[in-house]
Amino acid sequence: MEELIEILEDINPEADYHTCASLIDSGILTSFELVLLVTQIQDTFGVRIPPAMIVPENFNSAQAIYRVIRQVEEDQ
Amino acid sequence: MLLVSYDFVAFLFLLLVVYYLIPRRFQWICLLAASYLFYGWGGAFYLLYPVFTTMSTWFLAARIGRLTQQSREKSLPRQQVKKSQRRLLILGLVVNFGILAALKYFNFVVDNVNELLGAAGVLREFSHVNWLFPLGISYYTFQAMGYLIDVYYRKYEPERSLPKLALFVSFFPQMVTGPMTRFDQMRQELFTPHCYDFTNIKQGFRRILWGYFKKLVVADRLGPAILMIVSCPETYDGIYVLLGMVGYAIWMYADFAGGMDIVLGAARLFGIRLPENFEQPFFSKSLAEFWRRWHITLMTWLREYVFFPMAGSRLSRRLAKLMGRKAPVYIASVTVWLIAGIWHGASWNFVAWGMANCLVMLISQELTGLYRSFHQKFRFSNGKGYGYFQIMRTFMLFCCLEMFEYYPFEGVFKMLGSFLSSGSVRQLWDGRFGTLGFCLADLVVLAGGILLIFLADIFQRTGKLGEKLDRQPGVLQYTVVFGLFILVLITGVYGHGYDASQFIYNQF
Repeated sequence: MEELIEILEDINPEADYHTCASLIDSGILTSFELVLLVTQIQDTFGVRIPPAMIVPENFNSAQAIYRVIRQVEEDQ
Repeated sequence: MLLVSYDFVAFLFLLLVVYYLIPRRFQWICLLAASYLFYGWGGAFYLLYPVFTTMSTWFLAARIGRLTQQSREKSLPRQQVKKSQRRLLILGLVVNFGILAALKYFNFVVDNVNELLGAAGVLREFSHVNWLFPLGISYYTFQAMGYLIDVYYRKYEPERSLPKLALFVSFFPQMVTGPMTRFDQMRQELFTPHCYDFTNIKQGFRRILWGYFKKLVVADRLGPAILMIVSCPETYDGIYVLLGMVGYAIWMYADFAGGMDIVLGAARLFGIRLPENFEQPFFSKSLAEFWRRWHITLMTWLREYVFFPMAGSRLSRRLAKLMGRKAPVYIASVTVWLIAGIWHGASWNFVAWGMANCLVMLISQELTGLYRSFHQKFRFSNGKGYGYFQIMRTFMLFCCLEMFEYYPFEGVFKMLGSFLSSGSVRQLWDGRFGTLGFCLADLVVLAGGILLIFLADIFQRTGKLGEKLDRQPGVLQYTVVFGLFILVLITGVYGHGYDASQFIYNQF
C-alpha cells in the first residue's frame, strides 16, 4: 500500500491519499494522470490492469486502487 | 423527422396517448415501432442502415457471449476463446465503422486523391458518390459499437432479444443527436414499464419548451449572421472577428444544448431519463474541464473506448519503455483528438481543430507542476476573482480554437492578427453591422435570450434548475411554463415559409 501511495504522490502530491475517496470524481487525478498511474502500477507491481477495469469507481481512492491490484494479481 | 417541426409535436402527442393507454408490458415495443417510424419518416430506405448495424451488433455480441459462456464452463481453452472473441469484435468494428467511414469520408478522400493526382500532373479525376446519408449515423454507430466492446470486455451479458437491442440503438429522441448511452445504463430505463406520472409530463414538457427557446429564439436568430461573418473573412475583419468568435460559440451552445433539452424532455415524457450532455461548460476553468462538461457523452465514449484501451495496451507499454513513460498518453491523446476532429466533419478544418485542442491540452498537462506551485505561492490565485479570470480565459480559448472549424488553417492566424492589430469598437458603426440582417427587435430579443440562458446556467451550478422550480408554489411553476411558451410563440424564428434550420449536430 505504501508503494502505491508513493506512486500517487509522485504523480500529484496535492492530495491526502490516505483519506481522499474521490480522486477521479473531484478531478484530483486527470485522465492523463490516471494513465500514468496505470503504467506505473504495471511497472512496480508487474500486473496489467485491463482497460475494462479502468473506471472511476476503481480509482477514486488509494484503497480501491489497491483492491484492483490485488484482484488483477489473483486473476493473473 | 426533425425535432423542430409540427410533425414532431403531433407525433409526440399521439405517441404519448398510445404509450400510456396500452398494457405496460408493450410500452417498449411501442417505442421501438415509434422510433422506426420517426427515423423512416423521410424515406423507409434510411432504416436499412440502423437495422443492419443493430443486426450485425446483436449477432456478434451474442457469439462473443456464447464463447464467454463456453470459457466459463471450460469446454474451450481461454486463449482460444479470447482469440475468437477478438476476431468477432474486430469484424464488428470494421464493418460498422467501415459503413460510417464510407458514407461520411469517401468524398473527402476522393477530393484529396484528386488534388494529389493533379499536383503530380495526372489528368485522371475520381468523381464523388452521392450517398443517401442517414441522419445521426455517427451517434448510433458509436453507441452500438460501445455495446459490442462492453460485451467483449465482459462488462455485462449480451442482450438476448434482438428487438430490445434495436430499441437501444434507435430510441427516437436520442438517435439523431445523442446523447450516447451505455446499454447497462439504459436497460432499466427502456424496458421497465412506466406508470403515468404527471411530474414526468410536466418536467418533460418544460424541458422541451426550454430547448425550443434556445433553438428558435437564440440559435436560429443568431446563426445566419454568424455564418455570414465567418464565411466572408475579407469583409468582416477587425472587431467582427471577435464578434464571430463569441457569436459562433453562443450559437453552437444554444443550438446543441437546446437540441439536448428537447431530446431529454421528450424521453422524460415517457418516464425515461437520459444522461446530461452539458454541464454549464462556459463556467469551466480549464480546457480539460471544458471538455468534461461539453458533449459529455461523446468525450466519455472516446475516453473509455479509445484513450484508456490505447494508453494501457501492451504496445503502449513497449513504447513507454522506448520513448518515456508519457509516450502512451501522448499517442492516445493525439488519436482521441484526431477522431474527435473527423467525427465533427470530413474536412481538414476539423482535423486542425482537433490537433489544436490536443496541443493545448498536452501543453497544459506539461505545465501542471508549474500551475500547482503558482497556486501555492500566490494565494490570490485561489480567490474568486482569479476564478472568474480562469473562466473568461477558458471561454476565449475555446472561441479561438473554434476558429479552426470555420477559417482555413492559415486564415485563423491572419484573422486573429486582423483583430489584434486593427480591431476597434468603432467598426461596429461603420455600416457593416447593418448588413448582418438584425433589426432592433432582434438585438433586444437576442440580448434577453442570451442573458436568460446565462442566468439559468448560473442557477444550475448549485443544483438542477427543474428540481428547484418544482419546489416552488404551483402558480409560479405554471407562470414560468406559460411565459416560456409565450416567449417561444412570439419571439421564435419561424412563421409562414420559414423552415427551422436543422440542428448543427444532426449532420453527425
